[in-house]
Order: sequence, then structure tokens, then C-alpha cells
Amino acid sequence: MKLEQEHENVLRGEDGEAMALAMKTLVAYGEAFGAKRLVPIKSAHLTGSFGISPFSAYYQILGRLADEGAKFKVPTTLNPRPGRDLNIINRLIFGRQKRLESCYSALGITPNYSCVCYFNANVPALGDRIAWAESSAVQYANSALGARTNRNSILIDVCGAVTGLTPEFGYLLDENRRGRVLVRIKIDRMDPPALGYIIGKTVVDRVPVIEHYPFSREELKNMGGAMAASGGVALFHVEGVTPEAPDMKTVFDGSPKETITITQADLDAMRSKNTEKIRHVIFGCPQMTADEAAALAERFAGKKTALPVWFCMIPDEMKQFEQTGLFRKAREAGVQVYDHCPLASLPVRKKSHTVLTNSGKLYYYLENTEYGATDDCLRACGVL
Amino acid sequence: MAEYFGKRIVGGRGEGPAIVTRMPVNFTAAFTKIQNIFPGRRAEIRDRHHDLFGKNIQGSVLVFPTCIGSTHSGLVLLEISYRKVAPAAMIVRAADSLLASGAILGQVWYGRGIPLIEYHNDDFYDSVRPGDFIQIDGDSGKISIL
Repeated sequence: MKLEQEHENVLRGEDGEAMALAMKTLVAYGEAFGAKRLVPIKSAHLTGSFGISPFSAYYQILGRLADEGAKFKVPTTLNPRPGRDLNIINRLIFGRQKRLESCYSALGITPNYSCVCYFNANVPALGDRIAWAESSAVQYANSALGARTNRNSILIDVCGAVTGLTPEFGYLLDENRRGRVLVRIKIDRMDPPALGYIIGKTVVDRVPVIEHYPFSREELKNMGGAMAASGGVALFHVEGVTPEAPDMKTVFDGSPKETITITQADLDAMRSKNTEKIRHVIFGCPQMTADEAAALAERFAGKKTALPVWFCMIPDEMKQFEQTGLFRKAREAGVQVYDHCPLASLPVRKKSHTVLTNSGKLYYYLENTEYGATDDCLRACGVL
Repeated sequence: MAEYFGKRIVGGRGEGPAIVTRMPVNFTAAFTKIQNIFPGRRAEIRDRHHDLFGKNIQGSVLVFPTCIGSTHSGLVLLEISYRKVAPAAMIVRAADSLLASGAILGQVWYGRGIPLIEYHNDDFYDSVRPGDFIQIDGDSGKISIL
């Protein structure tokens, strides 16, 4: 890899030992994939927002950078907080949280505390080179916004933020952004997270192009989150919806070499058949916008939920939602509204505590969890 | 003994018994479970969606198609390198950015990386069996089944 003089200087330790290792990390990362140079980035998004006590290496390294006086060189946002102190075990597991947040603050973080940074806190433009982590955010930035980022690991994201650089390979390059697999949909009742889950499982890491469907921005978010959990999809296109897929011809560079078809029966097969054992219903992974919360709150208004139910929201959007009458109605119906990550706060719980969620991502990661379409979840709550 | 030459992703030598799966590995789902983070801290795959569920990969040569899922993969791979419970080496059909990062991070920051070779062809995957003793030289990309 060819480096600029100023990058060589950092590598030699001019900005400190930890900064030199950060630069060395990016060089090794780039060389593994044949990158020829490091390029400047417009922004970073970090995934490492949980101070998980039993893990130590990542936190040591972050501390070294902060102690050395390193600063993020580009606007840098951060994933959600791990959650409320729900039980003693969670309190022990997230014992590093305070120290972690003070490190980030010293480095210059934008404290958005959401995996959904891309609606307000950190919005890249078409063609911007960025170096993000968080699989769902990477996917939204690449797919829905047409920005360019690889699926960067935790710590690689920090190295990008403190240097303002990323190695040029993969999804930064035109040739890797074209469609690979055409996804035909034969669906009467669209369920975006279920569709995303099946696509991720099927295409794994290739670029899927979904036939035209007028997905909202929230549906793209929820479908993408699932796709990046059950698979390693970093970029997808939707014909006539996402910016790099005005039509099939453009996005495929000719005609597709592979086609898959996903049917209503495939989506329905995802839905839980054991709803009688559900103890808890969760909405909001990735976190919800105020619009999503309002639409769901309408369904709870004037009723009482039969099970504990959580709305997990983008913190800034939760502040807006709290000002509305629907928030009050949701609370009266028994809905708990949080601004944390549902995934982090629930791994340690009783075996009988089965969760139902309409999130394909949460379903993948959280043990003892069933998937349901939104109406299945409402039915389990006894409000439909 | 059979030899294969793949592509170096992360250098270094490693050897051990093969653990083989045809399913992609989601390291975050595999290793952020109680069995891995409480005392004992085995490198045991605890992803209920995976056919290696319950397998301890410490000291093995892990053979799998690719890495999927969360960008926390690097946290897990860095941590198991740091704690010296990582696989001795990894052989993968397609090295993605998360897997490579995870293998690199331990090397750059603690001098303990996980040698990683990318190998595309079916011949190796058709002949390798779980438990085969494998040596790899990450620098030259050489894989030897002893």
C-alpha cells in the first residue's frame, strides 16, 4: 500500500504509540484486501457502545487512545446504551459502561446513542466515503443512501475515526456495488424483516436486488437489520427505490446471473407457532422512529396489554414521541418505552421468559426468541 | 499428506485438529453468551442456529465458508486472541472484512493474531474431515493435512 508522508509520520509514532497502532491496523486491514491506498472519510459510526465487563482488550485499547489525547477527526456517532439495570447480572455485565462513555466523550463522540444514526445524527450523502461499523447502519448507509462503506469491525471503526481514513477496497469501489442476485417477490402481505431475514440467509454476502416494492425508510431499516444478521449483506438494492438502482439494467450491469423467488409461504414460515408460551413482546431493533412508535401506539390506544411490551426507540425520536398524546395512550395501555438496546439487556433471563418480536435482527441474536409479524405481536399482547 | 496453497490474509503459523462446518459463522451470536463470558471462558460456539453449537474451537484449525452478522465479530476475535483461547488458525472460503479484522486486531495490538488463509476450491473442502491434523503457514498460504 502506498502511504502519504503524513500517514507515514503517524505510523512512525509522531502522534503517539496508540495512534501509530491505529494507523498500522488500517494498513494491515487494507493489505489483507489488496487496497492500494488510504482515503479520507466524511464520518464514522461506532458499534462498541456496551461496556461489557468480561471483555477487556477493546476497552484497554480505547483507554490508551483516550489517555494519549487522540481525537476523532470526523463526525463520529455511537450505538445504543445497553439498557436499564434490569437485574443484578446485567449490572455486573455492563460494569464498564461509565468508564467507556467517559473515554468516548474524551475522544469527541456525538452522543446520539443509537444504531439508527442515519436519519438525523449522521446522514451521509450519495457517494460519500465513510467508515462505519454496526451491520444494520452499514447496510442502510450503503443501500438506502448510496454512501460507501465496508462492514467495518469494532475497533477498525475507531481506527478510522481517529485517523479520518479508511483503506480503499470492497464497497468503496464501483465494481463491487453492482447487483449479483435478483430477488423476485410473490408476496400479498409484505413483512420486511421476514423478507430481509430470508434474503440474508439465502444470499449470505452477495448483493441482492429486490424487485420494485415501495418500502418506507423504516421498512428499509428493519429489512436491512435482519439481512445483516442472518447473512453478511453490506449492500442491497431495491428496483426504483434505492439510489443506485434506478432500473434493473443499470444495477445489474446487464442481466442477473442468478435469481431467487421468495413467496408468501416463505414469509409465513418465519412466524411463531408457539405464541402461548410468549412472556414478553419487543418492538424496536433497530430502534424505532417517532413515526413507527406512533403507528404502533394507535393499535394499543384505549386497550390494556396482556403481556409486558417494550418500545425501544432512537433517543432523540423518543423525546419527540414523549410530547404526543399517543405516548400517553401507549403508557396507559401498559407499554414501556425505552431508548436503549433490547438485545443487550435481555440475554440473561429465566428460561421460561420467551420473547416475541417483529425484529428479524433481535430474533437472530437473542436466545429463546420467536419471530412474529407485527399483527402476531399485537395479538400476543391481546390488543388485536 | 495433502498440500494446498491458498491466499494469505493474515500471516503466521498454526496447527491443530480441524473443526469443519459448511455453515457461515456469526462470531457475535456464537460468543456473547454466558458460557463464554463467565469464569472458565471457553471459546465455545453458542449460536443455536449453528451446527457447531457447543463446540470449543480453542486451539483448532477452524474451517468454514465465511463470517456473517454483527460488526462485534472483531470484539470477540480480539478478545479470544488476547485471552489465548483463539483457534490456532482459520481457513475460509471467502474472507470478509470482519473476519480479517478480527484476526488482524490481536496481531497489531497484542502480537497475537490468528493466521488466516482464504482457499476457494472444492478439493480441500471435499477432502478435509473433522479431527484431521492441519498445519498452516499463513505467510505462504500453505495448508497441509497431515
